[in-house]
Amino acid sequence: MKGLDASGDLGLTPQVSRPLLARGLPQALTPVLAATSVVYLVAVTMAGAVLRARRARLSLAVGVYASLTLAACGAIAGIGRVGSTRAVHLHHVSLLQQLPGTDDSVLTMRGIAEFPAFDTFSLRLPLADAMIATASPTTTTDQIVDAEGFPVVTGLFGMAGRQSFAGEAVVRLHPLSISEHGRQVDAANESGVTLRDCRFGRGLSPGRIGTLAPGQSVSASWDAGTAEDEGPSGPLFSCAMDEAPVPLTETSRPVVMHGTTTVVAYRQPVLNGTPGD
Amino acid sequence: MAPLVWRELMAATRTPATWMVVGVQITLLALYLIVWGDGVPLVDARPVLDQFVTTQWVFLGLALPWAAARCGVTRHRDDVARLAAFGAIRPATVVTGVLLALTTMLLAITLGGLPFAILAQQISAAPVSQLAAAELSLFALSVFVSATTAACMLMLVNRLFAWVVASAVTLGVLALLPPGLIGGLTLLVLGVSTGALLVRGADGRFWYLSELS
Repeated sequence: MKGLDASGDLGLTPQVSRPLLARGLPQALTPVLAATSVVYLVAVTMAGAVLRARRARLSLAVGVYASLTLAACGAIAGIGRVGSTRAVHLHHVSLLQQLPGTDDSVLTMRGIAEFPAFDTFSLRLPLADAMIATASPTTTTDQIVDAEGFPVVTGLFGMAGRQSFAGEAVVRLHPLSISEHGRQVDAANESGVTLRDCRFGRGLSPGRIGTLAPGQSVSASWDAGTAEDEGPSGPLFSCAMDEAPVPLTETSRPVVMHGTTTVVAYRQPVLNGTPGD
Repeated sequence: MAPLVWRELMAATRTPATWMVVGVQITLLALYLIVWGDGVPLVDARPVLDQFVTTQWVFLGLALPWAAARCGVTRHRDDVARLAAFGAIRPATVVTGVLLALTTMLLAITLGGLPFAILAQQISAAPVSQLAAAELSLFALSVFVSATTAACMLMLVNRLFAWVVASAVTLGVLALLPPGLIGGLTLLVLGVSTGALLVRGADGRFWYLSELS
């Protein structure tokens, strides 16, 4: 990591920024609320029309109206607690930086969790060597770990409540395999998912690759005069993937991750310092 | 008195205006939560539940007087005198029955918005006691509107004028009072007092048919 930092490659890697979310209820809840409201409205209107047309008894009218209102209360209270609405939606922008010469990568994540119901939640990043910092009104940042030592985003949140956080972790994961043979650089997709927006770094051609299917490999060569001589050049190869490398988990609810992870691979830095560096 | 209340309520359930107000309320509150479910973006904005209750408070302040003026059977002072004569009961009993029926009907209309109030409470992460306080203030509004509208309908000859006066009085009082438990309690006291005064003066005021009839 220090070698990468000294080489300047890290500084030239675009960093993650917090995802932007529009105001309003979460997209997962809005259609359910709209549908429930329409059903309630239609039911009350139809009941009113039928009861008036049939000149129904008062007890029947009261019973029907009370039943419809109670049913609507139950349906609305159930939003975020049953079915697909139970899921916690997590919007993230992540960066997975493969550490050359190791099997590890550094994962940096900025995210916003959207909670589906008024309840206590505990979102866990299931990695021991990780941290999550959340903004708090009382302090600048909070870093909380659960009983097993995993970092968590936890608290009592209202329906559609949001909590932004930043996370960092070291993960044993290398979706990209990079090899250099003379002036040629080979990159292969070793993940199980399709990578998109792939590109080689500065000084390599072709630069833009596009999509890289699982198992597929591509090659590029250094442009004339730009081989191993130059200073910082940034990532050697980068791709974007729609899957989160490490999904967060919640004890009693599913977590749906939305966002993009940028995977970057670097050249093996030339270490000039002592081994202790 | 029970048959009288029953009769008034039955008439209210058979009036389109009752169901119309409930339908408009459902539509408005649902749209409000879909658009501003996470709160109206204002400086120093209050919690979602408070904003929601204020919205429902204003809507009911406009809609309840209209519903009350449209839905009752006993809409005129002469109706009270006739009912008292035919039923061999005191006009005060008739007025009490009308007030009870009207209050029950307006409470039922207000209850139609309860599902959305529950949703606003869930969004606000507020305790149930806050929801209960908010609903109590809306129920107090129903009591106040029923007393005010009944008084206007029975004291003023013209129904349209009576409705306009009742609406103006309601909105004026709402503008002076904050939504919430204190405002609700004030409305409850005002409503009960108005109703009590109306009932107390009913025997003297509605014993005979008016000269216009």
